Amino acid sequence: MENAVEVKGLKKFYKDVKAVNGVDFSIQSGEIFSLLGPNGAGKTTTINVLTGLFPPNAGDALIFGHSIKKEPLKAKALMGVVPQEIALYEDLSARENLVFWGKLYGLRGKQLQKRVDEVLELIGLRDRQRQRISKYSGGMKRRVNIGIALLHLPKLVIMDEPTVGIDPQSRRHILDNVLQLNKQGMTVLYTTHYMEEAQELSSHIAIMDQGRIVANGTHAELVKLVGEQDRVELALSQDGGKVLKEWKKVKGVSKVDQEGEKIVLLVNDSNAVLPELFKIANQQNARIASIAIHEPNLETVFLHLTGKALRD
Amino acid sequence: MKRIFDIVGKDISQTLRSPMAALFLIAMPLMFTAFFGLIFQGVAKDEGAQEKPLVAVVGEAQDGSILNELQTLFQESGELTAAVFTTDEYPDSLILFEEKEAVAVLSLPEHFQFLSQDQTPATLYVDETSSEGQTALYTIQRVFSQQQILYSTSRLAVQVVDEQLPYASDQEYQAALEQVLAKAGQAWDKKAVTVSMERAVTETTDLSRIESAYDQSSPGMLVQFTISGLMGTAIIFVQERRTKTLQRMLTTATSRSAIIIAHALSMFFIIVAQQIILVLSGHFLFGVDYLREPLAILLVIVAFALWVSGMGTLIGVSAKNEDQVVLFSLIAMFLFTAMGGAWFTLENTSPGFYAIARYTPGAQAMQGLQNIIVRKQGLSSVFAPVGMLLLYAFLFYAAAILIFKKNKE
Ligand SMILES: Nc1ncnc2c1ncn2[C@@H]1O[C@H](COP(=O)(O)OP(=O)(O)O)[C@@H](O)[C@H]1O
Ligand SMILES: [Mg+2]
Repeated sequence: MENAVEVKGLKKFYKDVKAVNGVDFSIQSGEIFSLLGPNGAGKTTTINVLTGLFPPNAGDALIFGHSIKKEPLKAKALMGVVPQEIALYEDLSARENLVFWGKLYGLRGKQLQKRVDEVLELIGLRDRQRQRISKYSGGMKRRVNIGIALLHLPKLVIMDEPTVGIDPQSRRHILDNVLQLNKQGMTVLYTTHYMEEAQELSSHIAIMDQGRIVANGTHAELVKLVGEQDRVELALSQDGGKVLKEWKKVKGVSKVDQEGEKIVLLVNDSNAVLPELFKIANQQNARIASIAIHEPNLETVFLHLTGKALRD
Repeated sequence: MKRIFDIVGKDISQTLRSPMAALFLIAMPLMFTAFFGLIFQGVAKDEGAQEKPLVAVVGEAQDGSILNELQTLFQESGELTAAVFTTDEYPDSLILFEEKEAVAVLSLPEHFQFLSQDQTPATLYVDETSSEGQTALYTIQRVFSQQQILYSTSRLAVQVVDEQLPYASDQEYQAALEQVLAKAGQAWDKKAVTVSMERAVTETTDLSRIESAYDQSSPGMLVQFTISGLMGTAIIFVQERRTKTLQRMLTTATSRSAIIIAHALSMFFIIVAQQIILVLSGHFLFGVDYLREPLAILLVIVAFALWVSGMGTLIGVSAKNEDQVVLFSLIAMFLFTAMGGAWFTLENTSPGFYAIARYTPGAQAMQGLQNIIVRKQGLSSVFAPVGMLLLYAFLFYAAAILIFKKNKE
């Protein structure tokens, strides 16, 4: 299958800042791909080059096979871009903004009005569509900011930190929107410095720091880099000496410890192992009263790879 | 191309939505037109009554009849007032320039009469560089040539008759001549043949010829508030840079040049519409006779709007923020309004200032408009100012493009 995005040897320098310093990654059609990195990593610069805002110093990016350098118009037509900063006309209403941007994306007439209605529905601002943007809360502005990029039903949506600085409710709304869009077949390139978002949304994650991709893969693959295993903490309803012994024999379980009431297991892949653990407990007539799975997270991965924390 | 007009539509609705728009574009200019009109109304009336330039006719007391005849002829021209002085009173007739504020002094030799080959010619002293001097010179020349034609044709006629059928006496000859002269004079007055002469184009507005002060304040405020009217749209340039909507537009398939062109067009449309409203208000509210040459007025408006939008574009691409847009626009407004003679007629300014100011875009627009409404000239009288304005528009657009290209680097 054709890749939605292919970035090859991309470099972009400001005067003395190597903002993007040789970046390669590719995004499969239909997936959500996250670019995760701290502030200043070069995410926005990468996106800006990808969306044709300015040319790279080296390298190229292909959008569904169209080079952003050689065929910028074809490439641009295939994507919807949600800029990091809210880029709206504050003195126009949400609807007027959507209509204007829809026109710039080439929509006209009935189709334009239909798409505007659909997007207003999607971002949950139908009731307040006639109000000026300047009257909106930060979260509502963010939603309009995103909605604009969806008007022309692009095959690829690029979102640059769309959830920065908003209330949890709006954030949830946005993340749900992203998942929903992806279900409908849109490919999503999502940048963030929140590892929880990357983890929840994406099939593939690239970790970026100081203008370079330091690691790239599925969440599981990345975590494996650190060599850490899932930590499963549980409690049994009765004494389970026999159960613990059986559990130790299960493939993928490397350690079983009793820490007071709590039983701690280290397992390679909790998803694969848990059903087996439950089955054994059942056979021994033991009930699992509580359970918590702690996957090693991207925070640890980032720390491991760069020697510093993801968030300062 | 479609996108350009999408942006124009957006710009216009943004501009007109601002509460300041209606105030700045229409209400303020009308208020100030009325205000300045009322202030200057009295002045214009007073001066208008006595403002016709004075010609002093100087000669020997014994030649009273020809002196009085000339006085009457000059008065009847409608362009001048005339007064008779004798050489006894004023041996040095040039004193009359200062003493009586005459713009021309016509000094007649002894026994002067129209059509006499062997006499010392009359002498006309006049300052040709002032427009009043020109008016006097032109009027006096016209009166003289008219009289010479009358006298020579009459004399010729009587001579022809005399050769065929000689008059009995000199008295009869003289009587016939006077009769023919009188008839010829009447015929001239009936204007069986009308010789219409357009007055040579005078460069500036002569307040004396302004019948209503609105003829000055209406075009003046139009020029002033058109220049400040560009502010609302020019500000969109920097706003779009600040709010990153410019960057967002560039992620759609819209080019930078298309965006600039769209903003320039928006400004042009808004300014043309503003001027049309101001012209119609000037015509119907203040009685300024714009519509006697609608096409000429339209040409001036369009050319002026092109220049103003060129300047707005220049301001838009050079300003770093909204404050600078306001600052630059206000500087431009004061500069070009003052230099343009929008507040006061340039003619009353110092020669050095006048020499420069008359060629500024504001002055060219004023001239174009007042050629129609004050000087009552025809369509062709606006061609020169319109040409100048187009040249200015070109220069300002060129500067805007250069700065835009440089900033892009
Ligand atoms: N216009 C610019 N001029 C100079 N340096 C810039 C500019 N934009 C970004 N940078 C620098 O480039 C680096 C990457 O920035 P950016 O791409 O915005 O990172 P991120 O989006 O990951 O936070 C930072 O060091 C930033 O300071
Ligand atoms: Mg960023």
